[in-house]
Amino acid sequence: MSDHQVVKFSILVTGSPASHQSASTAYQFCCALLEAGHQVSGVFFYLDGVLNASNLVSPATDEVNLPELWSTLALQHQFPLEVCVAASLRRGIVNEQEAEHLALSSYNLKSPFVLSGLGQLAELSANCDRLMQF
Amino acid sequence: MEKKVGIVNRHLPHGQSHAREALDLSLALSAFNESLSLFFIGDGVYQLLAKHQADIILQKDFQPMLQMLELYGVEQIYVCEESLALRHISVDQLVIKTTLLSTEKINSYLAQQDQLLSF
Amino acid sequence: MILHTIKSSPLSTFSLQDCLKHLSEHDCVLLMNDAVIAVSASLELQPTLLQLHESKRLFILQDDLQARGLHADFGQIIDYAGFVDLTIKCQSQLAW
Repeated sequence: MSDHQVVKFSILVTGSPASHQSASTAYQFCCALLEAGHQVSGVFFYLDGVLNASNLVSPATDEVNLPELWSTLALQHQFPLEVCVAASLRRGIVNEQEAEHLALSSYNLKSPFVLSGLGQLAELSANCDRLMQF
Repeated sequence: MEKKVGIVNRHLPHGQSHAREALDLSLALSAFNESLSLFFIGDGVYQLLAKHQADIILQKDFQPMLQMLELYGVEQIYVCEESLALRHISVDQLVIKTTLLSTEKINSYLAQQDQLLSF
Repeated sequence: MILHTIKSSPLSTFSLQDCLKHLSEHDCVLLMNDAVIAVSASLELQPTLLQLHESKRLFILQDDLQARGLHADFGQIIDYAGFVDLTIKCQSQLAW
């Protein structure tokens, strides 16, 4: 593959934003590949990575808010942030629809993150030139 | 052409959620991808050791779900021979039918995959 | 050709050791996050790492070295742009 060709990346994030550096690394990798003129097909959040999608993450003012950075980057470059629904529900990440369905008192999925099935990861795996896991 | 995807299982079951959630992922991907291969290396081989009783430590017993791999058509299940030997596990103690491979052979199969996911 | 990425310390986990066991002839290794200490501490694995370095297959993520106040004694230091190029040069990635 030539260096000048536009390469489509799908990204899998499995680390929580507050406990591990890997989620930040994934974000910085996305910024770098976009900077180089490549594309992000989508980012899929699995395992503790789903915690990146919480609207309630509220770090101190001198700390980085990774969910906020993901949202901004995804909106700017128009790529989806897919969050595994099963991994999310067992970690307390819920959207409005699931909250209603499960009779939960509130929901906290940040926009533009969306809850998806693992089929979406299969889709991202099929529709990319490179799949990167962090 | 369909991509060859390999899922590499490296973690002990139950202490962390990697094993169980990697199995969920493997079963889900198998519905979309017929070229799926599973690798069990290092501590990952403990996932296959029969007679887990995960419920006594408040964990989900996912071993019945391992049986579903065959049902879902996942036949390329490779286990590292050296990893088993180091942990004093024999092949007849494993809960599903697998193919034993040397480290060298595992490496050459890993090299054949278009994408690798690691848990 | 696989790009093996290591993120944890070789002095507290077996990730690097396991990775080196599963390395094929042309595979590359990228040390990132806590794993960058592998090129500044004394490790039993150092001869293997030096061999990798000599065959130009050992890479270290600059930001992670710098963030930890470390210097690499060997290995090729790359920034995030270099990391992106490396993933394109290699066929697949295996995250340890």
